This record gives sequence, C-alpha cells and structure tokens, in this order.
Amino acid sequence: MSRSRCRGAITARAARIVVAVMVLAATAFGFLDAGDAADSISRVVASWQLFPAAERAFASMAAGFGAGGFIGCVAALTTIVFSALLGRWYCAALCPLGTLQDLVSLLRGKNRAYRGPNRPARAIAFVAALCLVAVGATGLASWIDPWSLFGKFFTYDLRPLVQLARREDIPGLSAATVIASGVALAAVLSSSFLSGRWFCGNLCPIGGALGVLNRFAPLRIRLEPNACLSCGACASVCRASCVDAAVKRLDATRCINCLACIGACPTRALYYGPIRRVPARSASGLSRGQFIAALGGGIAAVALAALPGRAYAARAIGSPADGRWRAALKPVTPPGSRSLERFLGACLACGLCVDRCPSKVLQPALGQLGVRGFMAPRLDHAISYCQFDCTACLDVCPSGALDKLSLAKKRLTKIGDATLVKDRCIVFTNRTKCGACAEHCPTGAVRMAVGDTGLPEPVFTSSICIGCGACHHACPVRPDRAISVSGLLVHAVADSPSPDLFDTSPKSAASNAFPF
Amino acid sequence: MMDRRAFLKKAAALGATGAAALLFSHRSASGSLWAATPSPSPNSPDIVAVKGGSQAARLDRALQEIGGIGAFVRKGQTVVIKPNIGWSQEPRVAATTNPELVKRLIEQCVQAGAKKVWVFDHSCDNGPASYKASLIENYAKDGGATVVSGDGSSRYQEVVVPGAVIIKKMQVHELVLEADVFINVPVLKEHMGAGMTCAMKNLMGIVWDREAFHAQGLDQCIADSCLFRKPALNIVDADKIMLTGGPRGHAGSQYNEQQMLILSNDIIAIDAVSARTLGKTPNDFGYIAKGEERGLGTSDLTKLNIHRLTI
Repeated sequence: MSRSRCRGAITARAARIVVAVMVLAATAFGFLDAGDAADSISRVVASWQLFPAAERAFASMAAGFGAGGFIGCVAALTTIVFSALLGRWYCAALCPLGTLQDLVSLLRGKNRAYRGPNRPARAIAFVAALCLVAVGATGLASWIDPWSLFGKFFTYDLRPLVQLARREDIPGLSAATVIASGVALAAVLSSSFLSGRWFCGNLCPIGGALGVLNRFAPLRIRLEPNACLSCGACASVCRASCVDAAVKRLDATRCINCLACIGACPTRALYYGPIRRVPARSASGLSRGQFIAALGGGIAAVALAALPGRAYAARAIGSPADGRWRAALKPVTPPGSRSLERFLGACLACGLCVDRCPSKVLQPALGQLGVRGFMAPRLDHAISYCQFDCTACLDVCPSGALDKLSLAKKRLTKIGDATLVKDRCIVFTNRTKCGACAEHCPTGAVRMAVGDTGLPEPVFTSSICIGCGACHHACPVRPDRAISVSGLLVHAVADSPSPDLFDTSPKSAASNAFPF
Repeated sequence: MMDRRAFLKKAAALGATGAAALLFSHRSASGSLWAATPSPSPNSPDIVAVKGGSQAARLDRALQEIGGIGAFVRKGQTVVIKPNIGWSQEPRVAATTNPELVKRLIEQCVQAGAKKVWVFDHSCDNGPASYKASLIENYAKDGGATVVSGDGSSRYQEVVVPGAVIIKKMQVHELVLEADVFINVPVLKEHMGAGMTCAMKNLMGIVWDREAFHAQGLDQCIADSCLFRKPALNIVDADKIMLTGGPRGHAGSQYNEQQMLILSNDIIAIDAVSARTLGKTPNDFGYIAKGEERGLGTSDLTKLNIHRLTI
C-alpha cells in the first residue's frame, strides 16, 4: 500500500465530487432556467442519463435504428462498458439524484454503519422495472428511475416555486402532479437521510444493473482482509452501507466507488484496483465469462420479447388506441412521438419536455393517456398551442420517445386534426367579425373568406392541418369551441400548403404616388 | 415598479384625461389635432407620410416635419413604445414592425433625454420566440431600450375604460399606466379577422384578455380599447405591406412595397389613410367608424392637413 496510491484516491475523490456537483448544478439549472443555455445543458446532461439512454437504445432496436437511437446506444454502451471495466462510477458522479441524496445524507453526519442488502426488494424492483419496460409501460417503471424522479420533482414542484417567486403564471398546475412528484422524491430523500444510498443499493434498477457490473469489474474498490483491523472507520463513512468491517467484507453490488472509505482506512486495507490474490469462487458460482454471456443473453431475450410483449400489453393493460375514449377529443401527443402506442412504450414521464416547452402547451396527462401514460406529456390546447417554429421538446427528449425531427419535418408532422363546427362559430351565431382561428393558423389550413353572412367566415382544409391547436386555443366560443383539435393516435404527414391558398388576383403594383 | 397608491393615482389621472379627451375631442377635430399636446407651429400637419429612403431616414424626416421628437418626449420622461411583435416571424415576412424603425425611434427618444424607454407587446405566438424572431428584442436593446415581457397576467392591471360600449373594464399592461409618453408603432397589413391591422388594432396588444374581444364583437372592442390611453404618436410601418395571408403571413402572401412611413397623433385618421394604402376605404373596417363615433379622431381625409414627402 504505497502512499502515492492513497493520494491518488484522494485526488480521484475530489474530482468525483467536483463532477457530481457540476452535474447536479447543471441539471438543476437546466430545469429551472428558461434560456437557450439551459436548453443546451439539459440536452447534454439528459442524454447521458442511463435509464433514458437505455430506453432510447431499446426503443430504437425495436423500431430500426434512427439517429436518436444511435446516440442512445452510444451513451448507454459507453456507460455499461466503462462500468464493466472500471466499476460503478456513474452513481456517484453522473446521477443528479445520487448527489442530491448525498447532500441530504450529509445533514445527518457521517456516523453510518453497515446494513445488509434487502434482496427481495432489489429483485422485485429490478424485475418489475424490466417487465414494465418490456411490456411498454415505461412510464410506470419511471417511478423508480432516478432521472425521472429527479425530473418530475424539478418540473412539477421546484419550477412552480421559482415561477411563483418570479410572479409568473403557472398554467396547468395540478395538485395531483405536485403531490405525486413531491411524495416520490420525499420518500427517496427520507431514505437517504435515514440510510444514505439505500435507494441506490436496493430499489434503483440502474443501480442494480451497474452493481452487478461492478461486482465483476476488474477494477473497483476492494477490501484486503489481511490488512483489515475491523476498526469500522470505513463503515462509518460509507454512504452505501456496503462495507461490513466486522467480517472484513465489501458488498461490491452496492458499492458506488465514492472513494470515501479509502481515505478513512488507517491501514489502507481498502483500495481501488485489481484483485491481489486468487479468488475463492465468485459468490454467484459463475465465472466472469459465463456471467457476461448470461447477462448478454438476458438483455437479448428482453429485447426480442419486447415487440410482441408491448403489443400484448397494450391489449391487456387497455390501450387508449382501441376507441374506448370517453372524451370526444382524442389526446394529442407531441410531434415525433409517431403513435400513442410507441410513445407510451418509450416515455419516462421525466418532465423535461414539459419543463422546456416555451408555450406550456405540453402538460402532464392525468387520466387522458390511460394508466400507463400517467404524467406523460400531452398537448393541452386550452392552455396554449404548439409553436410552429419550435422543436424544444424533440431536442431535449432523452428517452427516444420523441424523434429528433428537423424543423422542416416537424412542420409537416400531423399530430391531430381540427374539426370546424360552423353552428357554434361567432361569425354565424353573433354575426360579428372574429377570425381568431385563421389568424393563428400557421399553415393556412384555416382561412377566412367572405361568405353568405357578408363577413369573413372560416374555411378549413384538413390535408394541410398539422393539429398544432392554434385555432382551438384561439377560438373564443365556450363551453365547446367552434373549432377543436383531436389527436391522431398514429401521426401522419400533412401536405405542404400550396401558395394559392389565399387570394392571388393581381394587386396594385407599387408606385411612387401616395395612395391617399 | 410603482407602489399601489402611486398606481391608483396614475390610473385615476389617466382615466380623467381620457374622459376629458372625449369631451373636447369633437371640438379639437375641426382644428389642429396637435393642439392637445404641448406642441408646435400653427400650420402643423395632421398626418405626415414619407416615402423612399430607409426606415430610419423616413422616421427622421417625419419627426422633423412635426418639429422633432422633443415636442412629445421631454427630458427626464419615461416612454413606452408598443410595436407589433405578435408573431414569431422574421422581419422579411413583415408580420411584425420593422426592427430598424423601432431602434431608430428609441434612439430619437434617448436623444431627446428620455429617462427610460420601454418596449413590449402581448404577442399572440409565444412571447420570447416572437421577440427574438422579429429581431425587435435585439434591435431595441441596441437602441437603448429596456425590453419588457408581455407574458403573464400579473403584469396587467384592471382599468376602467371611459366611454367604452362593451369593454368597460380591461386588463392593461402596467407600462401603459406607468410611462409618461405612449407611442404606438404598428405595421400595416391585411388581417383575416378584423380586415386590416394598423394603429387601432395594434392596441389590442396592450390588453391581457383578447379572447373577450373576439367573443363580444371585434370591431366595437377594438374601438373601445383605443379609448383608454391615446398614444402621443402613432407611427405606421408601411414599408412592405402584406396584402394576403395576414396577420401571420404565409408562404403565398402577397405584398405591396410602398416604402412608406405614416405618422399622426390621430389614431382614426392614420387608420383611414392606411385603409386607402391597403386598397380599401375606411368604411370597410367597422372599428374605424365606431372609434370615430366615440370621438377618437376623424376619418374624413378632406378635413385633414396631410404632408406628403418623398426622400
């Protein structure tokens, strides 16, 4: 145990803390600020979060690799390979919820003790998450995904507080989302206060998967029993409660390589590195090669089961797609979601798109998208409408639920269709001018033309309507609007507006004379 | 920005001014319309129209014709400028007021000694996106103005609109109440709903709840909204006039390049000549007549002293 190795561990620990705090600060800024910088930061931070990245890779495998899926695969594979070789660093450096938990557990001080793993909880949580993702109920699995829990809390609890302080309106604020997100995060943070990284070692599916990789990683934190005095200094600083000093054992499946123990150990029995003696048999009874083969096989099996699994689950859980809508209008999902079914299979309901949506037309669904879509985003045209020049939600979506469409493609993506009911329209009922729908329509699908009333009357062309909801939002008629947008359960491509939508008769040419 | 007491005082004073303007407007309509303002020479024009040159040159020439901006903006005063920033569209679409015009106007106000110049609009599209795409945010900041958001109901205060027929009360942006000088800088274009949007229609952007306007009869509500605070100046960007597909502008929109700027303190008169510029008559737009009925100005071009200048 050279002194230089210990100094190396101290430097590495400082670096880890700096990275962790920066990631936490950047993520918080990304959620709480509204500017362009926050957009870019959220995009970068979110794309490296493992659960969404894995979902993006998984969803893209199921649907043929798209560009977004490729990035997801790279991000997910990089973290997996890195962890398999160098141990589980992700949780103590790149996970914002992990760092937030560390801050909370610091309040309690560093008088920790070893606790054994809760094996049933760990198994049930991991299998449940895997099954839910496989059957296309990813939104439900997201309630134990650290990124989504963090995102929901920031989007639905902290951001409204910031907006309140800034005297901003908070459209669509609902008690259900405030409470659900707040309670979920409070539960995690309570566990951190009581027992450090208990959540990460026992419930988090990402932690579970990375824990297994860490267990078999060539380099990780190890305990050399021959040098250990069982003094317990390590256990008192271990946030993962994973070093059992009494029996001189470190539970590598829960260790997050925070490196605190190495500095605390008086005899340097704890170190980061390769094993120094011939192992007795590994605990699972598998060699590393067998284990990796088994893990790869498992992942492939889940991937193969996914497509039929998701289709079956849609029927079993009750897909909103089967025409059992109670409301007259079908829900509208964001552009890039392709179809409601695919969307529900891939969306983690992390809230990032809702947070970044400039017009706030994106709102968390309560019941509108069914049980699986609880708090997944939908367009609420009563609140606003989708901005024609905006791709904010597509740009930030970390899970692949929204394709990264170009602005040109997004402008032709038909997510819904409008219906015009002239019997309700102000122009016909009140015989006054209005035109709110037409003036807001970005494609010219709704236009005004002087009709029998002698007033400009709305005219609608479905083929160029993209379902953005501008007309719906602007229509002043209540309770039922004269023009309303219903979602397409499978998105389509709208026609390009032709240039002769509006009056093309020759107009007076410019002249130097004054027109009055 | 202002405490409650100061605000109430100001609102009351503005209301009284509005009422007084109504009482005396018919009398002043026959004489010089500039009389109400602390302004210029006896033979001053009711309307100045300038053609040719750049946006900035046209504005400078028009202001020179009425004795300079100093007649309206005194040293130490605060100014609020209300362009049309309704849509997230680039300047070339001409759905929003030209940013160079807005910038030059701000510079003029600053040169006249304005303590503060604010710019805002209650956009129809997303506010920040419209401020950005129209380039007005950048140009206004360059010119020395403070760009203020029109989003969020908390920035709007309920006021009584003296003489209104339908909109007797409305929520108005706090800057319209607070500023010493109010300048209206619309862009002239066709409007599928109201027919034309120019000076009068542009004032819908000082109001929070526009839906009520559409629900209760657009023409009368537009006229009502002009009764609350008369702009000291209306300056119309009639450079590239959208003739079809307005107000938002579409790929097939047709334009009439007029290279013109129109300036007046009579909001009815300026909309009347703007109607002519659009190839229509003032009678084509109900809100002009309704505004005239409330004494906001005169649409009879024969009674107006119009200075037509070409540079």
